[in-house]
Amino acid sequence: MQLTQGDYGEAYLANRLHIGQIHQQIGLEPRWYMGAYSIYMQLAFPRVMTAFEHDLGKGQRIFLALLKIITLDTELAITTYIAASEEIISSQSREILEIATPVVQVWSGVVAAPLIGTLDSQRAQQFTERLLERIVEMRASVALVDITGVPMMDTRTAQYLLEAISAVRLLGSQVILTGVRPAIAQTLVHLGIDLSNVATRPSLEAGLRLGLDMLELQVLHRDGKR
Amino acid sequence: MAEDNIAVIKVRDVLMITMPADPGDATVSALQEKVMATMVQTEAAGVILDISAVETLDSFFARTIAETAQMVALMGGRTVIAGMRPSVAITTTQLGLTLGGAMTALDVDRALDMLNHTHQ
Amino acid sequence: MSTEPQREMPIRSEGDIVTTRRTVREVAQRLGFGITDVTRIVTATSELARNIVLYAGAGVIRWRELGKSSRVGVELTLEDNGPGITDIEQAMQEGYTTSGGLGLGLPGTKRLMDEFEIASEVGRGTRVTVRKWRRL
Repeated sequence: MQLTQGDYGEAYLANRLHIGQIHQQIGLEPRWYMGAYSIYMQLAFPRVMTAFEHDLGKGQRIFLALLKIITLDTELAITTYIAASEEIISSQSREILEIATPVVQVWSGVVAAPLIGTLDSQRAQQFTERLLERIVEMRASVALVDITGVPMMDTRTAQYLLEAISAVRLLGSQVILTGVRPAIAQTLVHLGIDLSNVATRPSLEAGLRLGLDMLELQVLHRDGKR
Repeated sequence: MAEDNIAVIKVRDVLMITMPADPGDATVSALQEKVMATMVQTEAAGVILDISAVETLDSFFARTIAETAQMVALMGGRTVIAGMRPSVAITTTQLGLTLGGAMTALDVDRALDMLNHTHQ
Repeated sequence: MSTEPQREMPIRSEGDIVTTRRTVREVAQRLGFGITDVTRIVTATSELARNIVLYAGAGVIRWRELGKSSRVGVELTLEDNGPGITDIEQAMQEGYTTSGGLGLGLPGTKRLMDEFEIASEVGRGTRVTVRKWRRL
């Protein structure tokens, strides 16, 4: 029972925080902890008051001191528990985002990045960072960004896309926007988005063809015909 | 003292400059002066600015790059910025900066290819 | 919200711009910001510090670590006693032109950060405060 040892310095705090982390790891929720302390207090109160019945003032002070220690203890344990839980949630979120935005090399010098779902600010940033890092990593001169899986286009999404495309250009690579369905094309025009600087193709395949073209590569049938 | 940071090297008929990680204003200005001076001396076909080590590209640096590219173009050459880092590319785009007429390449290798192509 | 002490540094010359960048970079890295966010913070700082040198001659930068329960952030305040900005609204609307025209670059700087506050009075000075929070 370190609770009443008397020294509540850094070592004590570190110890309690560590215990909070362990509780999180073994799945011991704060309510059990708090419940136990509650019972403890209920048992302790009459005992303390009986022990100090000749000096109730002192008994009260002692009980309050006990309450203080227990409150601090609970606070520390809960704080760590919550922090540890949040750590897990955020690392899982990162993992989900990574899985949801794959960037694969489809040919030497060509990467493809299918975008699936809607883009919010955080996802857009994550996507752009990942795309650029992979382009550098794989030394890709061409990046096919496929938006077949993007359900709808709005100004914000278009803005994120344009920013990503500009950033890729600064690196020195080209972007081909693929999977531009008629409905999306219509929306883009209506929104007044200027895509005159961006190569677009209706499908990933068409995009790949253009990409290979840009790299001055050609796919030939074995018998020599294209 | 700032000029010691950058060396201009001639590779074939191209000028190559490698920028340090966080060049101050004096170094950035020196870059422009050195490029112009060397262009006059060597009649190079182009300039490659290797910024693979650069961690910050602010408006002053961007403006200097754009101006230098323009000056190089007036002297009949092309400018290629090579090796921009992803974090820098993203930030530069978000800030709304452009590099004028300078081209960009993933690395010095491709920059050299690029300048050879144009030269032909 | 935990209140950390503010640190500060003078900005008096062109040379101070790069020193300020380095200091802010260290702070942002120490706070655990990712590389792209560090670059955003440092670049925004560079722009604001440059404004001070160009238009006010001298000023100061203050920085502070922010902590709100589980969030971590950084707050930077750049202040000067320069001429002030005549039309803040206009300053916040101008963008960089393709030729990289001069200007305060405030809209771009605002885009890089999560929070942006500006106060300016002609003849008295300008103060810009920006904040960025670490992404989860």
